Amino acid sequence: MKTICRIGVGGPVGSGKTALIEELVPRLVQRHLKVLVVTGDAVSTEDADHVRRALKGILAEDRIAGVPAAVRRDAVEDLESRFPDTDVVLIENGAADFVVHVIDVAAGDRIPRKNGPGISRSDILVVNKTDLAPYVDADLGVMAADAAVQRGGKPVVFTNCRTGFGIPELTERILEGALFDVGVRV
Amino acid sequence: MLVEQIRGNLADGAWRPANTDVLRLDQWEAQKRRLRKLTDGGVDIALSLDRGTRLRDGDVLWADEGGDSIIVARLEFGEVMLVDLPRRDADGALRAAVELGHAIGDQHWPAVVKGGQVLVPVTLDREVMDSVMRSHAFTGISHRFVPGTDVIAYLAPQDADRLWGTR
Ligand SMILES: Nc1nc2c(ncn2[C@@H]2O[C@H](COP(=O)(O)OP(=O)(O)OP(=O)(O)O)[C@@H](O)[C@H]2O)c(=O)[nH]1
Ligand SMILES: [Mg+2]
Repeated sequence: MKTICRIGVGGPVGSGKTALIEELVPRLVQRHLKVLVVTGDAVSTEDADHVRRALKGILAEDRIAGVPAAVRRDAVEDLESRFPDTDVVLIENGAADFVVHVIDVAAGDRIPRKNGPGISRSDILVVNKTDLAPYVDADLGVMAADAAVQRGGKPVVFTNCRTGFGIPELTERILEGALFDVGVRV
Repeated sequence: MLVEQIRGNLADGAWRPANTDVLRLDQWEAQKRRLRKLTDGGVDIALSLDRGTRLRDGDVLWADEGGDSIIVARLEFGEVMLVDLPRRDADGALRAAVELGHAIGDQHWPAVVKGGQVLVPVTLDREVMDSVMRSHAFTGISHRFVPGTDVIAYLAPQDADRLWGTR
């Protein structure tokens, strides 16, 4: 049986993981990929509801699940078995083959320097909310330089989910890094 | 180069290659079923394995027809912290287990219990981990660091996944 690619979207609370998933799915669907989404809801169904609304007409509601962390692995397997012809599952805060770590510019430009497993080990580091940089005196150049030191050449992508800035680049990085054998159907 | 199947392992003894190129994977990368990375020789490897498959050190990822040229996976493991808990009295053991669990959870460190010990992978820096452990000043709990290769052989796949998998 074909292995469905699992992509984890992790990072601190409120950094924009759900927003990023909502931006990515239309681009992946546009590339004719069959997508599933598992959101990171801890106690509510807030995120899953939000994603369903945002992706109305793009992704069928039953391809989106919202489950607490403790049962996430089972939920992913369950969803995959219901949609076996899927190419990729986007999992907020879950176990995955490929990890996108999302940090928030507004949390301060020293975050990459402070390091941590998400910063150094993730397959792609996303620095989200670039629009907020002026409000918190964050220097994106410093963040890029520090991240480069910690990550030894692995990709760093700057995004703004409000305008879609950086999303095409992020999509390309995901296609080449994780979906190399399925991402070629154009 | 797309690799969807392991061709064998150097330990099989069946391989007499003239040219060996190496794909070096760290402990985190070794848990992945899907990965893209350059070999020492600059070959772009795109790994796409079944979910049940687990990479081992010495796995042959590619071989030419006669097996003269091959590409081999080398797994490079970092250190693991081994923690010993007191066992004499039940109350002391329970207290130590809860205190250690609280400290480990606070750091978001993954952990596995194996053979009466708690195993924690060294995530970033052994000095940092050591000072975190010492600052708790636990009673009856001791820890030391050993090479990951010393423990990997004893670990079940799900244990390795717990310690080094991306979660
Ligand atoms: N200004 C700005 N706001 C953003 C951006 N991306 C996300 N947000 C907002 O940031 C808030 C948090 O975004 P989410 O996508 O819910 O973040 P999350 O990481 O999924 O949060 P949790 O699931 O609660 O951990 C929301 O109000 C988003 O609208 C961005 O690029 N710029
Ligand atoms: Mg969310």
